[in-house]
Amino acid sequence: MQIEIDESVLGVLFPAFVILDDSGRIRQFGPTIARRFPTIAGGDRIETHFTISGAAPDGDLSALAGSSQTFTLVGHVDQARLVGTVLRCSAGLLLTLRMSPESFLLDSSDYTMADFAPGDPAIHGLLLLSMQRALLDEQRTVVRELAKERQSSVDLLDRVSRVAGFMAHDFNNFLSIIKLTSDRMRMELLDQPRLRRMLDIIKSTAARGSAITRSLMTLSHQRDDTRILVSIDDMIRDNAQFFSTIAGTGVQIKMDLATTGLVTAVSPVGALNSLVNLLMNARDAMPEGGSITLRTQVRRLPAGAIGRSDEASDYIVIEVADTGKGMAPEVLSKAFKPLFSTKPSGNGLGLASVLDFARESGGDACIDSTLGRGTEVHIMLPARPAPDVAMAREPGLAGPHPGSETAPTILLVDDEPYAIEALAELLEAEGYAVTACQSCAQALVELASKPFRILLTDIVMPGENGTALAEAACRMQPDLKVILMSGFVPEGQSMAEDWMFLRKPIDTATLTSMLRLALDGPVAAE
Amino acid sequence: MYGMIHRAVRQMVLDTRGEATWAEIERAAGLGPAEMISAEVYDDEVTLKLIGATAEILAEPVDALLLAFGRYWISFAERGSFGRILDFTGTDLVSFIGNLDNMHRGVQAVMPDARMPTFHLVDSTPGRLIVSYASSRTGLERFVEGLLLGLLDRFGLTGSVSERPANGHGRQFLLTYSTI
Ligand code: HEM
Repeated sequence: MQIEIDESVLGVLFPAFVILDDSGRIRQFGPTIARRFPTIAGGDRIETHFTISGAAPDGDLSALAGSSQTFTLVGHVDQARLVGTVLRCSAGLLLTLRMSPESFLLDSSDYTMADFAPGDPAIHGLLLLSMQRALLDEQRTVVRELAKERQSSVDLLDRVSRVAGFMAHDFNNFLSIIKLTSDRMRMELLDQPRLRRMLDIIKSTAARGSAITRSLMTLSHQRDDTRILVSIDDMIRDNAQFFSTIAGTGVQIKMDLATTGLVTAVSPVGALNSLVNLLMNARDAMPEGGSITLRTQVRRLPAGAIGRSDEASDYIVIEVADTGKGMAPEVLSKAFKPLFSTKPSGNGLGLASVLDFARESGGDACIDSTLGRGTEVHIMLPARPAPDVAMAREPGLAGPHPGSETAPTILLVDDEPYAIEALAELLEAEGYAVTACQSCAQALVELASKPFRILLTDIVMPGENGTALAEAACRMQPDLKVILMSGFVPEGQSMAEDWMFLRKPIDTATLTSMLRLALDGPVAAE
Repeated sequence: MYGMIHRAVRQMVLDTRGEATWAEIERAAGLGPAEMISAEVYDDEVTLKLIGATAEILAEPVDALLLAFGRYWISFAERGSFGRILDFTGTDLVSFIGNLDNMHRGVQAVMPDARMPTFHLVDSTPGRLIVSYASSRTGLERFVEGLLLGLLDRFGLTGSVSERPANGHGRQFLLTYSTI
């Protein structure tokens, strides 16, 4: 059967058709061939422009004529692939070619729908694939945007939280004094019901005040349970997929994790935020792509290297290194400053909050960068061996302690004279022997001169730090029990596992039961 | 509508007015990044809220905003991940419009909840086209006008687009243009 088809119709049906004459030379071709292969001219041999596969070994296409067997032409110049069958026509052989979808995908080619016959399923398939690709691209961008958004609200919250936290601290101190003082007065006014009634009013008003501070604390995300023991390696592994999305295509993350068996006491949210921050910075430093190395290792740092550590200790070092453009020395020197940013849309809190996180966790962070070679940020966090069950110990779970008969000695430290006065009186009334100090320095002198059973100290004091005092005190008197008290725990105060924590404003009943617990150990087994 | 439309609105505001204005619009519309996910379908009401808030904050009539947005959408798609699809649809205005439905059908395979419009070339003479537009939605005519203007931009043509009375179903637009 011979079908006569007009050339213009042929061009619509098979935009990439080719007609060969009996000697195998190109006689005519469709619009797509003309556009895609401008060097082809009538009279050329097909082998001059294409490699033929799927035909007889000598490239003879006539053997395929009339069969449904397909063959493939691969362009010598741009490797574009054409697939088709062979029909016999009056002029010779008609190659009913069409662009192979593969070429559309492989090169970022300039094929258009017009290169395909109307209704060619390839059109649909190609659109589908392109859409999928486009949406995948978009999805990556969205994940990055959401991460960024989350980050900037975290940073903002962080700032709000600090202000709220400090306010809560002052407020709680005052409330504490009011409550304790009214408890004292109440004991002295046993026979004056009217005055006692007034004291009750003062107390209940103070209680309402502490409810308000509590909401302030919630706002400030002040919780004393946020820090738990975290295996940094596990955390990184668990989030690997998320991290690589943040890094984006074109940026490869290489992981080298070597702190198995070690944990650090940190806020998991803070740790994750810090890493996300660093990854986003690294990514932004490599618009043309590159690689990020995420490495963890243990390093023993000498005494005094970080904070107030006075003996060498082990740290988990997290390193985030990129192969990006690096920073000039003048930029580097300011990199950790809050509100400093080189990015047009940066709020400059990223690196500053990483540093805060590290320091609040009892560690530190540093940055090293060379223009044109990349940037490395190191976060150092105090390492400790992973317990069998990695769980946080709530403050307030003291180990058992042998009972005691004589008046137990308490070293009381608080910078507020009224608080000291109220607490000391209350404790003495409970049968404790109290030594009161208004500063850590004074407390250290007392510790050097006689033994104490319990240290009851405020945490936040002007220029001084109750947790540091407690650490020093425990070294001086290893059997000492520690109760820290505060209306506000600056995040990342490292507390030893057996220290207890009492939130201000102090409730007298809680305080006395906690003291008993410190001396006698928990009543029921844990 | 799919979130890709919201993203385009956002990008337009960011490009022309900056981040602070966008933040204002987000607040006014009560929307956030969760409403900016391309492949997520949102109720048309969300889209309308966004358009309304944008018009209000930019102090522009909604119609003018829709027109500007339609025009912007083309350049937005060109620059982003959808650029390849535009290239694929056609290299000149006439074949592009002729292939629009085909393209939208392909897109729909990935975005099955899309309610796609249909476009049809009613008449085509050099420098003058009549295009019909039919949709299950109403009120997007200025948007379509903007899109068609965007297509003139895309193919390096100058001209105008106006709606003309149509006597079948759908609406008709007249495009008159010349090469720059
Ligand atoms: C790559 C390019 C494009 C993509 C991926 C695309 C995709 C879409 C999608 C997904 C919708 C459905 C929205 C929904 O119901 O959720 C839509 C609607 C629409 N598209 Fe496109 N489109 C593209 C280009 C164009 C162009 C060039 C025009 C030009 C005239 C156009 C005109 C429209 C119109 C008018 C609607 C509104 C739907 C209605 O009237 O109900 N699109 N498009």
